[in-house]
Amino acid sequence: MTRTPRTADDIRAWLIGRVAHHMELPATEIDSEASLTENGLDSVHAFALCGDIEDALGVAIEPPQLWDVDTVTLLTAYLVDLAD
Amino acid sequence: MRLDLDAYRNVGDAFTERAAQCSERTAVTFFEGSAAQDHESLSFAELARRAGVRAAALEARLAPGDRVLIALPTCSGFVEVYLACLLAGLVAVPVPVPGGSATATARVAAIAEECAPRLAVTTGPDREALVAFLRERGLDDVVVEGVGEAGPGEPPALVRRSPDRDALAVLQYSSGSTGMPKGVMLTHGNVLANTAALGEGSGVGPGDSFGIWLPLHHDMGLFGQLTTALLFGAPIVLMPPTRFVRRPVEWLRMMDRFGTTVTAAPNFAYELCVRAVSDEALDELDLSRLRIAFNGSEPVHVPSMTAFSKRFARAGLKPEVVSPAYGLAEATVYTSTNRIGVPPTILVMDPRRLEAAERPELVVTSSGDGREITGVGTPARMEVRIVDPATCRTLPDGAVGEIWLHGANVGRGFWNRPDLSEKVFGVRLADGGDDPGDWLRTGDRGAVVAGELFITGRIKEMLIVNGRNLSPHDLEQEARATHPALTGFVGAVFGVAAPEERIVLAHEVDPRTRAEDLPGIAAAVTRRLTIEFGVPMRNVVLVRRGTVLRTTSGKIQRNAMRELFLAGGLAPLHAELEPGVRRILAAGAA
Repeated sequence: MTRTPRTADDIRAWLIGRVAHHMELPATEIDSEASLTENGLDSVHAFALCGDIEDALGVAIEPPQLWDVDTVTLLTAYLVDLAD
Repeated sequence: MRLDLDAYRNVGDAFTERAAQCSERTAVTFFEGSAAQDHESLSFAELARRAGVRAAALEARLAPGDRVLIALPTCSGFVEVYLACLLAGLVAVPVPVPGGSATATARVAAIAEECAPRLAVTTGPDREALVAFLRERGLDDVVVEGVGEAGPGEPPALVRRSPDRDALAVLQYSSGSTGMPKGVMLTHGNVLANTAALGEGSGVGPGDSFGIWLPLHHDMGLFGQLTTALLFGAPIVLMPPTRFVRRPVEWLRMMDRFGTTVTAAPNFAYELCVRAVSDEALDELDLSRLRIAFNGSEPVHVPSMTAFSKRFARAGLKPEVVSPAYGLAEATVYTSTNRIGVPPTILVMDPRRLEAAERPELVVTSSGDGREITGVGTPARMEVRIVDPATCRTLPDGAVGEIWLHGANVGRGFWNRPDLSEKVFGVRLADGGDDPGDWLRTGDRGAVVAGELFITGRIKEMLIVNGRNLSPHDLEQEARATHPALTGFVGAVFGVAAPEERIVLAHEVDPRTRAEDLPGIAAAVTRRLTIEFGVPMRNVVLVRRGTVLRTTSGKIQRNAMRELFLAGGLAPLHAELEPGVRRILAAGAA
């Protein structure tokens, strides 16, 4: 697993990396302002991303919370809040 | 050890005798995760005791043939109640855990409405949600109980005569739409025959050790693995599916820790492991004891299977372990697999001959655009015919047609649906002579080459994504409710091979809709359907009113819509398509 991200920018870049990894796309193809579903995430990916977040940030999160925040940008802000 | 499963009257007798022979052996273990030191486990003797105690309690309050809804997650209560039903001559109806999502709860309630259970067993926290849903549908007389504990002491002897081979054992709800579930009626004889055929066809047996994350209400988990392990007197380790999708590596760690030799999963799980397991985690895994890993319940994608075998070779995985399998709920589960140690036959097919409108067939090609397709072995104890669905005549070797089956593990029909059952379970071959007319039409397309079965696609419109069967009707209904511009208009959902299955929605929009609103509508549909059904739904084609083809009786012609879409004939107002789907459209136009 990658090193633990710290700042908001780190978290954001790390999230884009994880989404790109699950979607098997280059990170440049991920639109952090678009809905996670528009980026192609389905429920299996969502669970895996929750697992990643738990492992790297120590934050417990479930797929419904991912869908609620909806974009990488908003998810970053949400995780920064939780991690504080 | 006697293992002639044909000799038993029912599943309960077979299990009871096996449990007596293997009493101190571990039957079921619940994997609590790789960080845990201890994992709850039950010996055959203790499992038989608990199931017996529960069976006596159920027998005292329910009549033979009463349905019992088992709405439990992976836990010892599930296994105990399931066995108790089979011992007491009650019909087990395993369903998804309610309360997981709105669609899951709606599905459980619809199943309850269909099969009118006397009792529903669930967990404490899910109980209230289920009671509320049942009340809403006027099902007030279903008793809903928490699973609780079996209780102490030796089980009292059962009073009633045990069920015979033709008695119903399980109603298996795995197909049909959410609103119109269809329950396959499986007898005790079907369940016993399924394990016998699976053992004979694959070589799996009493010396094996099973391990899965599959949901237990699903045919591959319940009959392909759990019931088979119990009837063989073999140990099985279970973990819940949510643990697997969150950390796929845990499935592999579980198999390593318990020396698992047999497992099963749909294609997506193998794909997920390739992506989600890090090199560091891989270096600590030993998968050398695994003898067979069935890949089934959704179309097998050769590249993902090969990628898995290649990546985990470093962990000692033998190349022939991942084994494509074919089965369906209508036949309990098993139809065909390769034998342990036999690598799958992979042929490179000419896609044009495969999909030809006239006489499609499997023709091996050496040109670059061939499609890899894997054999699923030779069916054991099962007769298979490839049939022209229009004429109901048997087709020769290599020809592609509908797969028809005949065997002791084929169920008795759909619960409460005699007309539909006759069309699916009671069909006659036109060239079958004095054929009694009891073939099962699978709705799947395939061919037989040199005795081996190959699956090429489906005739029925059901979609299979992430191992789940989805009805296009359910997706269409949800799409229509997403945006006012779609409400009152018609949509069609169909799958396209790109080359793995992708779902496409073509939907008519209100003519008053402004062009600049179309992308937002498409995005809203993608979001809602992905979240509600958990499947990627990125291909949304918005079309003019009247574009979606229907029969004179109003039935949506989904296959015709697929053809039209692939031929570039939809003239969309707006289309959101993922890259793989754009590529096949471009290839079709060229």
